[in-house]
Amino acid sequence: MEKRDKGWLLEVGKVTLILAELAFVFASIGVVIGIIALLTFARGKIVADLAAAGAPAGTYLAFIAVLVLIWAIISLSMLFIRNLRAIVDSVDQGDPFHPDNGARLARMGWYALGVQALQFVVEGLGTGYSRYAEAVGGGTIRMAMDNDPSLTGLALAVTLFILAGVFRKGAEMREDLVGTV
Amino acid sequence: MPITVKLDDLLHERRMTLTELAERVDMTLANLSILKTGKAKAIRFSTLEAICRELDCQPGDLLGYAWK
Repeated sequence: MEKRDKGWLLEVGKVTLILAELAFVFASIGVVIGIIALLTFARGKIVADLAAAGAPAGTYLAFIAVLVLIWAIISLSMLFIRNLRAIVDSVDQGDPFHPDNGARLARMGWYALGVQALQFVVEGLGTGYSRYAEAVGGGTIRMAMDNDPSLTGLALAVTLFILAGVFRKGAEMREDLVGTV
Repeated sequence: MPITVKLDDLLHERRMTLTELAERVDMTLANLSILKTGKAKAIRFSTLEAICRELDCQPGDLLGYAWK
């Protein structure tokens, strides 16, 4: 397919997505290192610190569970960005209705839904733990989560599924157009 | 596809090459070749009109239906 000039906006988008993917890769590595540290060399100190602070039993496990869930959210976000990059590349190559783009958008919809679901779990875990800690330890330890699921995220997922259908139809029409003389 | 394209026969009768017809109807040789070999999925009325004009024929002379 012929390469066409799409202007500076597309270039900015491509660079932004590359930077975003890199940020997610680094964040993912950071969280994995954190999990490994929690499970190995930092375990003794953290368990002792939590006990000294009067944290209820299970706090250590709650920390690990939250980190694993955060890692899953970052991974899904990374996959989301990767698919978006592939779509942007296809636009750059002058082929926005590439047959793969419909499937990519559908996958992005599932990733967006996955992120929402995991955020819901993380938020629930944080709130549940804080209530438990308050009951057991007098409210000295709280687990605050600042990533509550939103309607915007769900709307994004629904929009992506609709767009996936539009692009699938567009790809079919493109195929017909290719064979039209 | 049961629709057949008889462009090859028409060109032969008119002693015209595909390249010459492509120039006359202002189409690429590649697209005309797709039509000639029966690989086209659709044909625009404007294309049909141009070919019929240059080959002095009717649409029915260019297209056929092979019922088997």
